[in-house]
Amino acid sequence: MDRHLMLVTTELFAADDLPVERCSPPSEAGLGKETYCMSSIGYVGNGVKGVLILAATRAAAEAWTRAAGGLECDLVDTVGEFSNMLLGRLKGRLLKEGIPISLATPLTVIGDGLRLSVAPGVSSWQFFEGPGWHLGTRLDAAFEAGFQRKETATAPAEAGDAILF
Amino acid sequence: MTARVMVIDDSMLVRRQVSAALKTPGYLVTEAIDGVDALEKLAGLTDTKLIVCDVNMPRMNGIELLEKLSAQGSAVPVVMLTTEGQPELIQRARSLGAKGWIVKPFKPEFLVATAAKLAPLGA
Repeated sequence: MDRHLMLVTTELFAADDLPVERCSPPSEAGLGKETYCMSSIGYVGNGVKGVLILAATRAAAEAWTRAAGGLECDLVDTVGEFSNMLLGRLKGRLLKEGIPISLATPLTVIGDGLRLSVAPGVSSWQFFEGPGWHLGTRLDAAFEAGFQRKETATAPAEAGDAILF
Repeated sequence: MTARVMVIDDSMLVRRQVSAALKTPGYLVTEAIDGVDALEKLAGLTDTKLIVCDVNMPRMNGIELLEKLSAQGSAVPVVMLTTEGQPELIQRARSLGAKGWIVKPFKPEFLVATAAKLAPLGA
């Protein structure tokens, strides 16, 4: 799961001409003390459920808005949409691995020095940096006993695909 | 001559991206934030020639909106613009009458080409 998350995070931002690189955590506790916008999206599949979390500084959201052609940055809207695109890409990857999931809509909060209260060992932050900004992602996944992969006959449509019926 | 396109997405960022892409060649764009808002606006905008619609939205999602439009006998072509790429979901939208499926992040030229095919300017 962590490998997929790392790959889709790198792919998503590269697609918007925002190359990112893995970096160390901003603080020992994970997120730094600055203002973060944190978006979470729950997902559920056959025998698996969890949540994707994307945390971004204001500078990150402003850079993403500019890259998307936007002028005014609505922090909640931008981070919510990028978390949605991130989990959408992840959904495609997981489908290829035989793990179909359904997504909820993003829930987004803003605050100084945000902390996340999670059970230890469930998942860990992955941090990435662009020029002058950084972001954190994590993917919690809980597999039920008896979980099995499900083979899919058709490959999912990929980011950027346009299909006319 | 222009043509009206309704863009339905709960993200302002996406609505603005789509609007900018479609306004450049001359489309008239109306925005809606979800399926409920879209149905209300469509009732008063009978000149709408194309709908560009997200799937995952609060209150009424894109698939539920397709069901409503299908039940109403709407002839306005709908293109889904979403992060989703699951084949079953694409097939479901197609069976409900959707005319296309674009996976975000999208290329503006693909969206404009799709609009030109389904709702040509000057027609």
